[in-house]
Amino acid sequence: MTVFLGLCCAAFATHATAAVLKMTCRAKGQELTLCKQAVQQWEKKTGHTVEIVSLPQSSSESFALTQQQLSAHASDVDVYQVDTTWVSFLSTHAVPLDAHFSAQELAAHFPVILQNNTVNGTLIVAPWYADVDMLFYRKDLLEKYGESPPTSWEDLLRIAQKIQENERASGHVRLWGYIFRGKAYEGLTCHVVEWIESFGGTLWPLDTDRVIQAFAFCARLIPTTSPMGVLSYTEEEVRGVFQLGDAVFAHNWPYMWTLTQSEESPVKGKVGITVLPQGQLHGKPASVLGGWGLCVSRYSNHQEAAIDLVRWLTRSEEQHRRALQASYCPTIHALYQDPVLCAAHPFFVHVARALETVVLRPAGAFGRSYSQVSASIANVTQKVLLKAITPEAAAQKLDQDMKTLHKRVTETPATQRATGQ
Amino acid sequence: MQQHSSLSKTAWLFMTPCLLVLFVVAAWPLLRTFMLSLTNARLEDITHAQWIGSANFRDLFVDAEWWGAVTNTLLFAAFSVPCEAILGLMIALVLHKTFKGRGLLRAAVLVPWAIPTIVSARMWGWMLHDVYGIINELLVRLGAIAAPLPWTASPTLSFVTIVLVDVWKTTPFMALLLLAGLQALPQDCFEAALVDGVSRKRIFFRITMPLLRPTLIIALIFRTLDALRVFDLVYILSSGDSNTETMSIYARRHFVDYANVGYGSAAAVCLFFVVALVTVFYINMGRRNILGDA
Repeated sequence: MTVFLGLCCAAFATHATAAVLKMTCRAKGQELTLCKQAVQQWEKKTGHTVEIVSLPQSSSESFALTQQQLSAHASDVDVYQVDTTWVSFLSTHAVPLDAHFSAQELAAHFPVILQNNTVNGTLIVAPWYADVDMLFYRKDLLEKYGESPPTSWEDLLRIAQKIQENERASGHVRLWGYIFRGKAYEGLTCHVVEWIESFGGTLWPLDTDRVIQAFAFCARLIPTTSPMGVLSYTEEEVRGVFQLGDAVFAHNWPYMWTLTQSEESPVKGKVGITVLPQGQLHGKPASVLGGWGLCVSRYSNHQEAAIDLVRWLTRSEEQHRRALQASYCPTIHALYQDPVLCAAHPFFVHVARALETVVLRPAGAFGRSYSQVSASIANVTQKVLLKAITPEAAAQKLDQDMKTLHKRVTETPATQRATGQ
Repeated sequence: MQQHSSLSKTAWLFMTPCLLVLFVVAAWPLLRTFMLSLTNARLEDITHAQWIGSANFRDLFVDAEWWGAVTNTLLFAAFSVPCEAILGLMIALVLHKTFKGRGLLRAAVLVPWAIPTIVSARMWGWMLHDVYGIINELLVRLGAIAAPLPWTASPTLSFVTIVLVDVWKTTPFMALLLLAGLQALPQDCFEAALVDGVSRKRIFFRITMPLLRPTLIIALIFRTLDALRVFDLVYILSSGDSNTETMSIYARRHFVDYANVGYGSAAAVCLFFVVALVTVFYINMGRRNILGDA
């Protein structure tokens, strides 16, 4: 049976020009729809067929799935949608892409994204869209209370608390001041890096004083301005609460914009976006570089077609369409000066600004242990948010965990070499 | 004699396919997990694993998170299984009586059990959402609670939530097994007791319960084993932290998320032993009871 199928495939590959490709695609917000639309155009153009495999909402779960496929050297999926933090894992599984893009095409992207997607001088992930956490706020409520968007976290807490108290007193009992992605997963890790960096510190190597400051800020959130429920929120729960009008500030990715502005959205026309606040004295607004790219599997039987698909999906026109239709942020800097896009999404100015000062998660430093580091960061932070541990103890625990894991990373290549030979 | 041995030969012949299938789907994966648990295998490179003896187990036994997961799992089983048994028994007794619409009710009771856990857990997750969930809305409107509760986020409350949803889901299974047991009981004992004018309470404790005990023990074994390897419900309903993590989730986390196949296998092996231990305990208890009755 297998031999027969194999023969069929071989015959198909050599004699027929049309191939059947598979690609993974996320299903967060409108992503799946956008992906299907673009893929259909490509199918029409080339005559190939693409089957889309939808990925779980959580990045950590998507990674588990992708890791399993690629580790098994499975040829089932040709093109993978991949997160910024997976690059070091992908280095041995993805096809080098440099040769398939002109120098000019590459130079059009933000350098920080290219740098992130490159391992040992080889580009392996084509930038598809960028993500930077932004601060969403309720324009109408801030105006009502004579406040302007906060520039420091201290400001944010003050405004959040004031509006929350007054609005609750006048009947909106479910209103919360500040919501974010608090479930113990990659989404929380992003926030932690942002909180620490905005207080002027770094997570790795761990800057104890600043980390303690950032954690002290976290410990003040629940239940003053944030519900205990944030501990189970991922992207879409944050959007759900904000879109229903039950939060003053939301800390989330820009994709939320278009959906909060849709016809059926209760907060249509009442939403503002700005860069994240900073810690009071020595901070700077800092957003983590998120966003996803596309890579072609080394085990794919249709690499040429797959690369063409990746080129099609990541080209400027497609990024423009995705930005216009669903506010997915382009990775090409020229698009932030595009008059149509700027008119449609005035907040793109802030996104471009955030992308200039974007920070990276310590994925590169930890390589394949990153998911473990990230889990530890998220878990410790949840304890801080619950006040189950002091900021000082949390910083110490985190430092310990990261050092142990880092030691393991720097030690393993030697043993791996020994086993490999 | 000749005939006897040829008979037994035929028996083996007929059993071979079954044994082979069992070996392939049960014994071999189990054996392989045991072997992997003694190596430093990683998902990306299983073939080049090194033999590292009991190091994984030593790491496991000093990991506070593992013991947390063991405690969580045992607590989960200790709370959910008795609730399910008591409620299931009550429902089974009701369904055993003849009344109008019994067939319909018997079918309706099975609905929670028939929905795939992932689907029902997701459904409960939405209904229990702290801001836009219907349960909070209802309870607040009824005046039962002053403010919405974070059902799936607070460490203590999310444990209670998980137990409650599990009870909702698996009580029907318990009820069904016990109902089958009730229907198989010999009617003459009950008739004799009624003729003798024994009170209903006495009939229940002296006749129904002892006769039902073997069925009850089987139902408890099934449920306890299920509860000890609980995964989907907790995975969907909890906030992903170590407060509600069970043994299966711990094993999966290391095996799948961290690609640490060796260590994950060690956790799986320990889970296997915990489950085996509990089974042995139950079977012994069952045997003693049966002997005692005889």
